[in-house]
Amino acid sequence: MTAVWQALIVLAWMVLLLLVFAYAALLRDVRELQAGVRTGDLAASGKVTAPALATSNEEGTYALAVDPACASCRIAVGAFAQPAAGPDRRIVTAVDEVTDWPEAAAVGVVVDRALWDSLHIQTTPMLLRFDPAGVLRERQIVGSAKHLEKLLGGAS
Amino acid sequence: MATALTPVGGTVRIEVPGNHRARPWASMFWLTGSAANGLDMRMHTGSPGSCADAVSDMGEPAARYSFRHAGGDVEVVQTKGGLAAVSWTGGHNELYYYLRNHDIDVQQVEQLLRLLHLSDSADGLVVRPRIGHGLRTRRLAMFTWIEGLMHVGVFHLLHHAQMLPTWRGLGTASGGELWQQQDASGTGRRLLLGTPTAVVEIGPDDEADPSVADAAVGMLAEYRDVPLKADA
Repeated sequence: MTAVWQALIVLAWMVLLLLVFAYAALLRDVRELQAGVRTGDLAASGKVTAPALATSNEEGTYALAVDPACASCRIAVGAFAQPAAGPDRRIVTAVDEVTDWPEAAAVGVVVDRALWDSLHIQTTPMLLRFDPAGVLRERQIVGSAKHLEKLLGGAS
Repeated sequence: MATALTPVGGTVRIEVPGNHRARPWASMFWLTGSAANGLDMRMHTGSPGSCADAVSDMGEPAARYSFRHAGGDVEVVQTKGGLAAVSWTGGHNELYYYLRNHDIDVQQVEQLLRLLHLSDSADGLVVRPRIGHGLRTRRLAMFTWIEGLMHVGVFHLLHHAQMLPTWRGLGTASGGELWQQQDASGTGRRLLLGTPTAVVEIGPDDEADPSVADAAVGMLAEYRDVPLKADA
């Protein structure tokens, strides 16, 4: 009889452990879902204004959203920083590291975590177009440096 | 072109009718790995010439080496600036990705490529992560451009349901409900298709060219009967 009780206790502990693991997995899923809601695109469809990107240039501003951990961003910045007529050009990022990129020196870098969060960047690099008042008008996912050149050339 | 992506057993397959194979195309998707392998890559696929462009965009190469893998030629190009490009050139299509670490060695590249099953044909390139390595796509699943025609974005519904309007769509197309959207400037035109698992965004390759926008919509034979009008 004692052996049966011992087996039941061991079994109960195993079930308890399984429940703990299941609960941890559930919590992780809930956190992912919450993060998904927080970073969703609903706000992106609303009006986003960036005073730092307002300009007297009547053509507005192109902003390239980049992340220092993104290798494609480094290459895109090289194409973006080429001198050109048309809208002003700025790089937007959430962290300081990008200001150290030599390629970024030719255009201004706006480091603004709050702005970054309000833009709801789905992926980087992303090309954003702001009107002279600094209101976001258009966003385009950038595939490559040549694609970026096409986007910049086509709309300027 | 048929672009297929098989992240975790499900397949997103986009079939575009017509003589589209003559057009250059490019596609990209994102893969993240398990905590053990720490992978987080943006992969690019495309028509012939894509890899050469990708390498030339990096600037002056400092080192390069090559080997054969899965019926294609692999080339690893490193720059002094700490960037590297790994390219795979198959008989019909190409694949490449960038890395920041220029110290990457050939063994690491081979290990990375072995995580992917590549199936190259005239119909397109299927990239399928091998089972058991914890690879999965990120929230933005895939983005494809067909030059002079359209771009197509496929987003996981779980994370991008908010992209879909709250009002009724213009109609029901194959696979889901269809909306037309204009961007904030009022000039852009996009179609949104909401399916049970994904949000598909379709837009013209060149916003400034109305004929391209019309062609993009017209090519979607299944959607031709859907009236196009501004959102309510």
